[in-house]
Amino acid sequence: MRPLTDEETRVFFEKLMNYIGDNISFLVERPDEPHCFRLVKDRVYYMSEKVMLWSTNMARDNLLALGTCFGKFTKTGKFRLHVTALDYLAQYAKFKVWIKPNGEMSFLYGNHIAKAHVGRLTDDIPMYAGVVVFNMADVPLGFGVAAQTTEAARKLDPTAIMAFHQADVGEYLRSEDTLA
Amino acid sequence: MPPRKVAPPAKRSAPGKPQAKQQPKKPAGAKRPAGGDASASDAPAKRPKHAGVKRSERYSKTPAVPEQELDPEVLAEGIAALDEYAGSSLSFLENLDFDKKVEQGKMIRPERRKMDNVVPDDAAVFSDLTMSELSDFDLDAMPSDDDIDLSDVGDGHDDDDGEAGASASVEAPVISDATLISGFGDLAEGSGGDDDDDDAGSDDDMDDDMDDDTDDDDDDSRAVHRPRSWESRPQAAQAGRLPVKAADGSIMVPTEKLEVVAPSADEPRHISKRLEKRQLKEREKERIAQEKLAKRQAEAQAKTFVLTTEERSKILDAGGVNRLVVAQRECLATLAMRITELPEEHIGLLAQVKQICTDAEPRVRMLGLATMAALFRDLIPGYRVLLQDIDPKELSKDVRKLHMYESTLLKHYQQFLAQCEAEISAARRLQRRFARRAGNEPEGDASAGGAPLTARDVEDMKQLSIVAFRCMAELLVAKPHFNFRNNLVIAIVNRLGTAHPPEIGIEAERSLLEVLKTDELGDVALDVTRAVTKLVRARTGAAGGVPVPAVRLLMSLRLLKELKPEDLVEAAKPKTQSGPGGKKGKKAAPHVSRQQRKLKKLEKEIDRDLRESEATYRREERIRLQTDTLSMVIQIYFRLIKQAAASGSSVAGPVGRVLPTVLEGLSAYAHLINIDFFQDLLVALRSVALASLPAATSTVAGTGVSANSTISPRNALHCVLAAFRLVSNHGLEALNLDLKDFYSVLFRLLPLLPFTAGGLSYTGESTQDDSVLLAVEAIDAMLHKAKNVSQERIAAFIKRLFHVASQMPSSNKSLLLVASAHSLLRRWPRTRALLDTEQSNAASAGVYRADADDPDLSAPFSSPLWDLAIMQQNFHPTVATLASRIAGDLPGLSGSPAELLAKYDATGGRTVFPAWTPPANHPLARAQEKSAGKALFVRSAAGPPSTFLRGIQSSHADRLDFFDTAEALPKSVTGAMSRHFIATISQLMGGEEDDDDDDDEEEGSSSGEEEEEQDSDVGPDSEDDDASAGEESEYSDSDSEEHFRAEC
Repeated sequence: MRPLTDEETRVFFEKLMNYIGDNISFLVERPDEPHCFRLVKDRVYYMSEKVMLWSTNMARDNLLALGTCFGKFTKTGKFRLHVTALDYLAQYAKFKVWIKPNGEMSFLYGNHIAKAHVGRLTDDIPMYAGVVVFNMADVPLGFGVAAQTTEAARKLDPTAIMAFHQADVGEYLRSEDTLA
Repeated sequence: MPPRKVAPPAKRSAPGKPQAKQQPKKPAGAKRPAGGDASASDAPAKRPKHAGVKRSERYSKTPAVPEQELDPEVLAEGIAALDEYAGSSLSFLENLDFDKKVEQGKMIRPERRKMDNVVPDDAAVFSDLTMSELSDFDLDAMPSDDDIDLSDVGDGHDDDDGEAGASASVEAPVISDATLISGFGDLAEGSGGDDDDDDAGSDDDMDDDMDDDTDDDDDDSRAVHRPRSWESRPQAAQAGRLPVKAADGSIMVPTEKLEVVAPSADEPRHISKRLEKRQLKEREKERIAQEKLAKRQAEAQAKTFVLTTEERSKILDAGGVNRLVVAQRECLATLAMRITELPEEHIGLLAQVKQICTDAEPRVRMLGLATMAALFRDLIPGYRVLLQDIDPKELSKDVRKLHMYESTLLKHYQQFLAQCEAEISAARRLQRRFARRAGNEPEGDASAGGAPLTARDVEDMKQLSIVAFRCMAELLVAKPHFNFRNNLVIAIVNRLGTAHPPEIGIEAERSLLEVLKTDELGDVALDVTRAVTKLVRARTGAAGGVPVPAVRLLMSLRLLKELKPEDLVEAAKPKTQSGPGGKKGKKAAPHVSRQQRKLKKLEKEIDRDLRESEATYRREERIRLQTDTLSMVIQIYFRLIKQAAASGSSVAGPVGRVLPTVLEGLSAYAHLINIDFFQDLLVALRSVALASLPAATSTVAGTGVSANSTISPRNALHCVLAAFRLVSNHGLEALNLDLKDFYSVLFRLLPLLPFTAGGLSYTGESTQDDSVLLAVEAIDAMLHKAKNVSQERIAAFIKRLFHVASQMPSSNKSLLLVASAHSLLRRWPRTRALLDTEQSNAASAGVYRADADDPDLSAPFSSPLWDLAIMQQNFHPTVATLASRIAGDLPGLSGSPAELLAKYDATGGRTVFPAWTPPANHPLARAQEKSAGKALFVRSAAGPPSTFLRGIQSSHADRLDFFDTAEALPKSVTGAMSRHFIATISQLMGGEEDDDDDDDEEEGSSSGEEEEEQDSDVGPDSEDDDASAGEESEYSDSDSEEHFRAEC
């Protein structure tokens, strides 16, 4: 377990910025307790400093996971967000897409979001910005990348893809083994 | 008129003859510009020669011009004059070429004066007869109106002739009615001015006037042609070209020469000579009566009511300007009275009024203009005059008369408006010159020399310009349908918000508002909007910026309330359908037979006619006009908002001053704005809203509320409101947008409200601030009416509303915010988790952040609505009650935000705190001091003292002091007083053994304090207090007696 290097921090935060913008500061400077990011075996975990300090008592081999996993660095040095980060992404999301009940299952099985399934979306989403997906009852379902700007989306036909799938809560079942 | 029926065939040939002779004459007429009608321009030239000829030519279309050579010089002169005015006639109505006209008017006047001396002689000498034309009439079977009049005149002559016994009494110097009248007519015209609507008898003159009226500068033409008419008449008489009447009244056609007339000598043969004497006598009587009437009318016309130059200068020398003003006022009064008593006849007198309006003295001009305006108000008919290029001679007599009246009126109206406009700009010029001169030579006023320009002159001109403007404004308000409306509207709109002088700016706005209010159809609104568009376009870059009233005016358009979004769809439909739908219609067409189509067409026509006859404003027409207006209004707003967005919306920016008005307008018009503009508009609104926010609002405490801040939360609030009205009305075609940024803007604005509510405005302006109302409206639109809003967000707003409510300086505003929060709680049941302490804590993640800028980040569910508990302790009973009702989940107050705000307003809308000043020297305080520690008894001066009072007076005289009040104090105060008194008394009674003087002093002082408090509380809001106090005061005399006894 170690803190992120500068390069890692840059890559990680850039990715995160896609989804929550400047709200990253809310993750780091919390009024209740100081929190931090730690790297364990290529994965980035988010935890309170107290937990972090306690965890130093564990042997590295024995330490499987701690805090919340945000994602992992690939072998090529990119960062990939995991669905486990969804709670924080949803809380601080900059751009949101709400999907209708009839599109929920489709998304939860890993499909992209068609325009017909979009119930509501934030105004002014730029292209390829990260969006957090909610159902109409404001339950976060996953996240993805906007395929169109909000403005262009108005003129799309119903079957056109509005957002690309990246992660959804269905993964907790589908890829239970690989999630950590 | 039996004689006329026996029309001698011989005469029929008569008109033909002159025609042949006439041919060479024609080119002269043809040479004149074709703009006006040729006959019109011919008329002045010919009439003098032989009025009859002209008539015959005009009606029988056979030019019968005398054989005499026209004086070439005179002719050339006449033609030149005619050329001039026929040319200008083309542009007569279109352009308001003021200065030229005024000048012309001035130039002509002296000439006309000269004419006055000439014309009477002319009339007397006049022996020119008009029989020929009259006979022509008979033969040509003219329209009945003319027939009657003419025959009457003709008959009169017949009598003369009959008595003379000569069928061809050509030489006889008979003064015919027609000529006589025309003579007077000339006189009237010469002295009075331009076009006089002559009396019925004088057809001749009438024609003339008709012709003149169609042209512009008849002044000129008159001045030129009149002398000619006078010169040429004797010639005509010498030629012996008098008409010839038969004994029975039928009229012979005169020929050019006596020899040619010869056929008319045959006439007697065809005439039955059995005319009864009685008939003759009757005619004679008629003739005389008519003559008298004509004379009277002509006299009326001929009279000049205007002071001549000599008279004017005499008055001026004798009594100065004031005398002149009085004299001219009398003239004006006389003229106005004359005109109004018989407008159709005396319309020509307007020229005289106009003449007074050109007086050199501004005060006289002022009176003149006001008179003119009043006259126009009365005279202008209830329709728009459409002057068509119709040859007046084709019209029937009545129509012609009306035509003439209208055209005269119109012409004067135009000139009047032109003068008003000219006066206003002249005043402005004068003022500028004066200011420049004063600036250049501060000490050398006397040495200014040249044109001495005094402050008095400038002031006079200023007053004149105000009056002139007011005249224009009044006329627009009173007669918005009449011609030149557009010119008027432009002139007035351009002066919106002007400060030169400010009266004009104010008047402009007032009058336009009034016009728009009464504008049923929307055509005036269209004109006004067009003018505003031009103004905005011209002024956006200018130094002064766009005048605020001009933009504010757009909010007063009736279409804002009348036009519905459905109407817009309806209005757009026909256009879209005409494309593809038209083709379909063609395909379906073959089924309709030709006859059916014809029928349909007929039906359509009938329908149209019916609609026209209904004379009500059609809905479609109104919608069409309003749609056009709307698109212009939106364009204006877009132009301004885009500029504001580009320039960062600072007050100093090019549209900074109008920005609040624009935003207000946008939110008012939001429901009518086309969806295609939507995206652009939202972007612009967002940038303006974000720019309007204080720079750093990371913490609530840190929302820098500095007095010199130039940013107004109202702008941002208006942006938010406009954006949400847009969204809610269009729904954005199935795409439901979440305007997150606007939510966060509003969320950030809420903490600023306590600083803006009331007289101490956020911007330092001392205006009545409606920010709270706006904010509540925005919350209603964004959270209450919206279909899908995240519950977290709503909860965040609810919490913030409670925070802000507890900070509001006036209780009605905090009440408003609490009521708003309450409505949200009731609308979104899930937010009631806030009221449930256990649940809210369990459901939340994180810590509540009251300082967050984004409602989504504040985690409201992590803390309960503890503010509610504080609110229940609020000093204001209504707020406290409402808070406890919210806690009990009960329905709260009813009424719109504005109503609530007004109902519980304790400030009178003036300041933050209740507007009262503590009495410097309160009577009770004085009494308290005097009583020196004794209990103060407030005694009503009305009525005899009660038994209780008498008893107490006798028993406790040493411990009581009395304060007599009936009028000195309000009832509530006496009530409060008596309450304290009762307390004192009961103490006196109950603990007599242990009461000391010290005790009494304490009592007295404390009661005194409380009295003052009570007094200060007596504001408009403490009705309950008032009521209770009133009740108590009632038993100050009687009930307290019982109370006292019970204590005993």
